[in-house]
Amino acid sequence: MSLNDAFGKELRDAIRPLRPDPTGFEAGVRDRIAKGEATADDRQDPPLERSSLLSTAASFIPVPLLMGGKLAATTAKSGTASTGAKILGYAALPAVSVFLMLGAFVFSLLKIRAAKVTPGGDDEAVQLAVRAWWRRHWWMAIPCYAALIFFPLWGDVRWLFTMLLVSAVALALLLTAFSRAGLATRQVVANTCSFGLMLLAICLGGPRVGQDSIHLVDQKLVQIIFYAGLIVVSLFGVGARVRAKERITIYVVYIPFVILIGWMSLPLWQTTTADDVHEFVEGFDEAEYGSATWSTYAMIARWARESGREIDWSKPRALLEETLGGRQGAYTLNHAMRLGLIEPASFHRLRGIEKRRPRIFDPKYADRPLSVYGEQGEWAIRVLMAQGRLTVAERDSLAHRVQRWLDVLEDDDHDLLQDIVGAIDLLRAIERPIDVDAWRPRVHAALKACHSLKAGGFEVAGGFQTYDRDSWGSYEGTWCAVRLMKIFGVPEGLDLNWVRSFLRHGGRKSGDRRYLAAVTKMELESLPEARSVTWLDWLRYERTLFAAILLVLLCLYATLRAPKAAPAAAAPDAS
Amino acid sequence: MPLAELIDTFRGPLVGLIAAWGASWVDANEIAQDSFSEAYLRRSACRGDWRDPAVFGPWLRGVARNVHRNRGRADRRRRLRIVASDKVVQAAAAPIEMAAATERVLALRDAIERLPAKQRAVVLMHYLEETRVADVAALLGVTAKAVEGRLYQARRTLTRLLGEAPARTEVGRVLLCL
Repeated sequence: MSLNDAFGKELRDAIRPLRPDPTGFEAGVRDRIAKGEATADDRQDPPLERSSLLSTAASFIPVPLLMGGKLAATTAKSGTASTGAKILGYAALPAVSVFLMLGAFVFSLLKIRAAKVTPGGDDEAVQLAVRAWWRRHWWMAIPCYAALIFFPLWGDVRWLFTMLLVSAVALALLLTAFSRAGLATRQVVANTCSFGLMLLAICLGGPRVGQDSIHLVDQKLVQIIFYAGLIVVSLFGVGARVRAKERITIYVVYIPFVILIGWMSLPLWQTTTADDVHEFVEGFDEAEYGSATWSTYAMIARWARESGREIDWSKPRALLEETLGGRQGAYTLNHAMRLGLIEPASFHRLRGIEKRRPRIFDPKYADRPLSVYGEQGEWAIRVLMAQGRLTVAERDSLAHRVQRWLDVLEDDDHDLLQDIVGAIDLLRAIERPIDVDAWRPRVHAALKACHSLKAGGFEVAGGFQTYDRDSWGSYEGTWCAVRLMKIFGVPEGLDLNWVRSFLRHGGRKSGDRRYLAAVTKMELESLPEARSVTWLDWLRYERTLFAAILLVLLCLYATLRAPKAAPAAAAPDAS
Repeated sequence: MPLAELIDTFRGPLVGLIAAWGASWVDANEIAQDSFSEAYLRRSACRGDWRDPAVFGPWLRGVARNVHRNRGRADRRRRLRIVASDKVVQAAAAPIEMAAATERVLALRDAIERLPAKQRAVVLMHYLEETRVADVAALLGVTAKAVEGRLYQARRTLTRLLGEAPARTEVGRVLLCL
């Protein structure tokens, strides 16, 4: 484009008076450069000035506290820092308030004493820095302390934990920057990190943390990671101590804590395999709570039997002998017959079959719903069926009555899923199976109604209820639900990850519940609709776990990068 | 390229660019000087060889943007406290800028003010000190062709804003473009 045309000339003429004076401009630049270089030489803390992140961080963290008073109180301001650095600084403020300042308060006497006895240490610098920090950031610190006191009293520490975790990661990043610049002593960084990790671990001890959201692993693992990180970081901090005797004493004190953490983490590594279930089923020789124990055992044993394994039933049968030789409780006999534990040779020992028969097949009751459990006659029906004593007409009548019972079940709040499973099993046993397609919408509706996203009673959310519809899930209800999903498919909109999340807790349960959770989980994973867990699911549901690991690693890195002692050059009287 | 040459190359377009961002000409001069010194003092943070105009140009523009932004924030804060002094500064700046301005020149400056941001920037950067298109492009981090295109569009817009019919040569160029 030519500059010689008339319009171009006009443009140049219009703007010419605004031209800067070349000589004055260059002189101005050189003057500024000279001043800038002179100021840089006079600075007492060049590392802070060299890095925009550090100079920003210095306005959020009282640096002399990190250095044990070996650095003059900084007057850094965040006004000229980049937006990213400022965001990081503000994000770290809650953690600085709680971990660093509260930690400094807890260890204050020791720290100020240490600053006094450390060569070049300056307790006045520490106090000045702390005071300056309080003047600028009290507005953040006070709400943080209030939250720390009131949230645990309220019982819900999830938000507090999330806030502190995010903030702790930001603080760890800043501490890492300070450590790399040699502006923090290893012991102080380790103390700050340990204090932070300890508070986060305590927060996780809250009763509701991780209970009403989807998780693939037990959230106690996050707590264990924090405690383990606390020990490792502290050990490195202790390693920075000068006196060997003091160091060894502290190492010895740590031993019980290491043992305690190991003991706490044991249940987390406990997995229940198919072999374990098999062993449990074969070794069943005591029904501690009578028919209730038999009920849970029957659920577990049915999975073992249906998996096609060879099972030695001698011990369960020996236990059943007590029932057969005693008062022959109907509920226990129901479970035993379902499992096929009572052999045909023993049928003659069962009492009351003939007494129950008219009640079941009397024509005047033909239209009355037959409660499988209410009549307590399921075992008797199964015996009659096994003996070939049920006519076609009787089976039709029976099927009709059971179907009638299923029709009215939806109004029942008690054992809904268990009753449906019982009825379906009985209909199969009398060779009158349920019409799956016709019943699918109703069973799906029942499954959705019983699915609980509520946590409570030491159970996490995501299971299926056994009792009233406003309760939390149970293992028994969930076993029945998975069994129904196997027949009727998974209802639309029901996230199986919730059920996985509920069953994850089983690892920490003792006794038969552990096995019930395991077999239910195995059944769940065998459903055609159960897609395997992807790494995206892991990232989504276990973000707290990954954040915890990241935080511990950052703390470890910050601690290891920090010099064991403050740099001698920073001391005012180094000469 | 030594610092003096870099200042010579980028002084005009940088002042023009800062003025196009909305700073007064006095402020634009100050901000440009601050930006040169800042860019030089922090040259170790510059990615690449800072002596290369193609590297120094975008680096200088980035520094200038931050300085301008920070100064704007500081001005806003100061304005909240001292309203009167700012008016004095504005008044002091006005006579220099308005000196020897004829009616036609004032109309042209007014039209430049009304140009779209990108066109206003290239006009001020290019015509202030008759800087080469390649140097303007280096500072903006775009190609020389792009700068030429914006200048061409700017001249057409200015002609329209001034209420003149495009010159014959302009009509011919437009037709050629079609």
